[in-house]
Amino acid sequence: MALRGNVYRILEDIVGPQNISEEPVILDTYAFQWLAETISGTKFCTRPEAVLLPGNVEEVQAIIKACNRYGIRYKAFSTGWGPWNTVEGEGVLQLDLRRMNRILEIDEKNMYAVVEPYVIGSQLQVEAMRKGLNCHLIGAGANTSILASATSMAGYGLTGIFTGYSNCNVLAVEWVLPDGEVLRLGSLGSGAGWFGGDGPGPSLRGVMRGMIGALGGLGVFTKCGVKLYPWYGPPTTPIEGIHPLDGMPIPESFRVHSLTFPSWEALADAVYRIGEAEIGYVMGRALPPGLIPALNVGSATEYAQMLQLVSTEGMMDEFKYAIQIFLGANSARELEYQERALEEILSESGGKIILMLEEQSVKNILFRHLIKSEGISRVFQLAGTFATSLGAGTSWDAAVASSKFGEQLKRKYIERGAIADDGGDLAWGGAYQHGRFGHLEEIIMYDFQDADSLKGADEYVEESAQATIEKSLGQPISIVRGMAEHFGPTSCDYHIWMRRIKKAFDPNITADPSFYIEPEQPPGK
Amino acid sequence: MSEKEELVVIVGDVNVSDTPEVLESYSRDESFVRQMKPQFVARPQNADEVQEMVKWANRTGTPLIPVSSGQPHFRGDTVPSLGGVVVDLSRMKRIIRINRRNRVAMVEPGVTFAELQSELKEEGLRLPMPLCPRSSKSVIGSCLERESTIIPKYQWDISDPLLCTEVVFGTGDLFRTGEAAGPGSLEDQWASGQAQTNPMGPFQVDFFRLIQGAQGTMGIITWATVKCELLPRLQKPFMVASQRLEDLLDFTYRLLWARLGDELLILNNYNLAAILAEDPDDIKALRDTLPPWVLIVCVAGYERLPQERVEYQEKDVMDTAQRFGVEPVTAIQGVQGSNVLEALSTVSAEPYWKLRYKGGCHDIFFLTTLEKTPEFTTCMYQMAATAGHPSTDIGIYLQPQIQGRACHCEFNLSCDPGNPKEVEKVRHLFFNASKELMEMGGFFSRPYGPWAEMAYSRDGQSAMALRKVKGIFDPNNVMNPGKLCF
Repeated sequence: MALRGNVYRILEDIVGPQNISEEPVILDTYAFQWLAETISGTKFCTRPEAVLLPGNVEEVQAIIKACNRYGIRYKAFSTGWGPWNTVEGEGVLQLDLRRMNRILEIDEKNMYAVVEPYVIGSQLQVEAMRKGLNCHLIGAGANTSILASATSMAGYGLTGIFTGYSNCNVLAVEWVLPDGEVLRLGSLGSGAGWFGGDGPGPSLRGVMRGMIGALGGLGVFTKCGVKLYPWYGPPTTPIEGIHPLDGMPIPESFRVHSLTFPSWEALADAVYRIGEAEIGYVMGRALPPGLIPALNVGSATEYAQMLQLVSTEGMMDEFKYAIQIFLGANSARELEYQERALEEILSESGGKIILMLEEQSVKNILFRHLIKSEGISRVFQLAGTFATSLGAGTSWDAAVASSKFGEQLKRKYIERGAIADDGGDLAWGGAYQHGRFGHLEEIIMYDFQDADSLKGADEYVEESAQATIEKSLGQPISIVRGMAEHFGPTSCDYHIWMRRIKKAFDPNITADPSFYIEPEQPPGK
Repeated sequence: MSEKEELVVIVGDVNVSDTPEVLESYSRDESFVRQMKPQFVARPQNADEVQEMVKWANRTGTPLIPVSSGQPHFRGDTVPSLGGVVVDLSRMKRIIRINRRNRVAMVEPGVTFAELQSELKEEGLRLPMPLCPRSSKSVIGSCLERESTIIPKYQWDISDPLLCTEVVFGTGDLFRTGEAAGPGSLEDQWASGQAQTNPMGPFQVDFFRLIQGAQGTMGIITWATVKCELLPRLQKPFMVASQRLEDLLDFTYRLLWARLGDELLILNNYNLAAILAEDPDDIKALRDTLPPWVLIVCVAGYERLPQERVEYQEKDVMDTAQRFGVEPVTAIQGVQGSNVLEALSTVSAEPYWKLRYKGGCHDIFFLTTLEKTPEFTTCMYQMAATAGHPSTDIGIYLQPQIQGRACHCEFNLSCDPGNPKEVEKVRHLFFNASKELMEMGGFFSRPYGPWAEMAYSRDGQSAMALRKVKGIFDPNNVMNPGKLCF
């Protein structure tokens, strides 16, 4: 179904002829997505009706008003990664925000930046580091949109112990509501600047997002303020070596270590103590055991051989209960304090430094990859793709409990041959805000071109989600369609309130509700 | 049954009051908000009773005004706008759980700072404190008001230290926010290691943000979890005196960037004197000896290497001070830093410090950024001069927030409530200065009383969006009607 001629012309008038397309070859580039197979059985989600590239808030607003007038649905897309960025159903417009790619401001003193939707993590990080600042980068990589993570998606990242979580980093926001009205959250709405996102009165950030965002179901965000954090390294960070073994010299103000513990319980104790001691710039399970053999291999076959080798030699034992920690400090004195505190924590927890990862070149690689958040490619490399599960934002003890369960469940699917054999433990995650909460998500790798593997992966994700209900393991990170209907009845019927929000803010249901909530309760629910 | 009899059925005979003295005491506060008596004051004891009251209010169309802190009140938010029933939550006093490992406490709304502090101390914990709260102040009340706290580095989000809540919405539905929502009961969650430390969600909505800052217009909280911090083993407070506010700012910014110091705030001489001195004469005398501005920064050591932590932080603070040309000292004009810290670490002695000088006080506060505070301060002084209010009687409190991204700027206008002429003068100053400071870019994020109309007239879209939210959670407008934009 093509857009009616007059509608196409109206939209074309808004963005200009060079910024609208109905060409299938263009449209399919949006539909081609990670995890699409879990929705459609192919690598393609639904093809949008047309794609528009608005250049500013006025154009976004005009498009949304037109959508409301003509009853057309739309969904925003910035660096889009995953099916929740794509459209659902026939006749839906994709709004590609890539032309809105400016860092509008870096307020050095008050430590925040104002960005447009297509500013990616590495772009902001480079500019921030020049001013002694850094930004929170999510595990999905430095190539993802800062604004999307802050306003619309989740926000886990391994610097979280120092740089928090995306939800808590968002300040004022410019938001085109589903009805086309522009809402400016917090201080911005009162003409006071970008430093705050809350008020006057109750904070409408509460409508904007929760632990995860509305995933395009509540309009389009066109600018936002985000917190920046101190950076104790140099203003520029030279890269050495060839990817994926490229490294970054470790500044004098940092220390890089991988730590191992005798048990999950000892590891958990150490994480709590690290949080209390307020040490660490990076802290988390960046190299779970299942990832170790992947570090320097090029294929699934090599991975399997390496896994066998390292398992046989007992090397994996070192990584079973391991975390990475970077100490970063404002002064030599502080760094010394942090090192002493870490020594003491290791001693109390029975932990030790993993010596095989103390080699300088290895540490340089780790430093680059974790400061720049560049590890995600590994989990695509081996079986073709990956999915994630569990991973509630919760206390570290609960995160560990969830991780233990995830490993146990995965083994069943590994033994069935449905998902890649990674040894069972690919629990990735960290702690946030000096350890106030944490998360460990259990990753699986599978072959999306193999029907049995895809089926197994789907079943695993579903079974793990069900287990979070039955075992009270928190609210999982795995995003599926119908999530609200599934988890709502287990969580104070929150889906009923969400549906009311959707109807109140989007009376014509023009913002694609597929990964938020459908306006009417599905039959039988 | 009469309305009173219905309320008696819900909360019991002794917990419903309509005596003139009681109704009078809830009909006004220290603010300039118009006086109005409630019909009744009811004191529920648990969530069931609260829920029944809200359902009753919906059936009868009766406004409910939730009150958690004891008197005196200052903001007008607990004064009925349209009559109704005051829901006094002071009987809900349980400290339900303190979890040392996850540094979190779960409390009911009637629990005051003083009550929780002593319990936390036994567990080696403390609360992030507002500036010397009055002894009757509810912990949850303070959290719901997004009141600033004096340790900015622990405030990752402006919503801190509030975490999960249990709330009865205006519809009468009971709900739990954040990870407390589920899956599973609280007991199930505790069994799997959860401790209600994550306020976000459930899932795609941050319900708690819609209740916080709402002045009781969305629902009634029946418990909440709050972030606690470790109790320091060692503390070393410093003060930096300055004749000019501007001269303290770059140093403060650097401390925030380097995460140096815990308590970090700026007071003018009047406020520092009002917090420390016991009576009006002493306040006046101390104020006149103190420098105009004092920055307070306290370094602390906790369970892990406390001495070493204090030592490195002290040296780093001193190095930073030297770089910015300021001098941290442990005493100023006979005022010891340790005494200041002691005052800041607990609730106010009686009488409440803001009332100590003249018996009355009217606060103007808003958010801005630290570097803009001198402009606001100059404006306030000019307006006071025009109004004939002595600038020496204005208290000023500047509190960096959200780890330094914003700054709470507060002016305290003392006045004698027994002197109608003075009250009238301060009333004019309060209104005119509020308007002017808002015009200058002060963000009145917590718009109490007359500020609500001023704030929402500048931000109509927020008002419209909030009315949609109100329509969802309190469609019959029974929760504290007449407040904010409702």
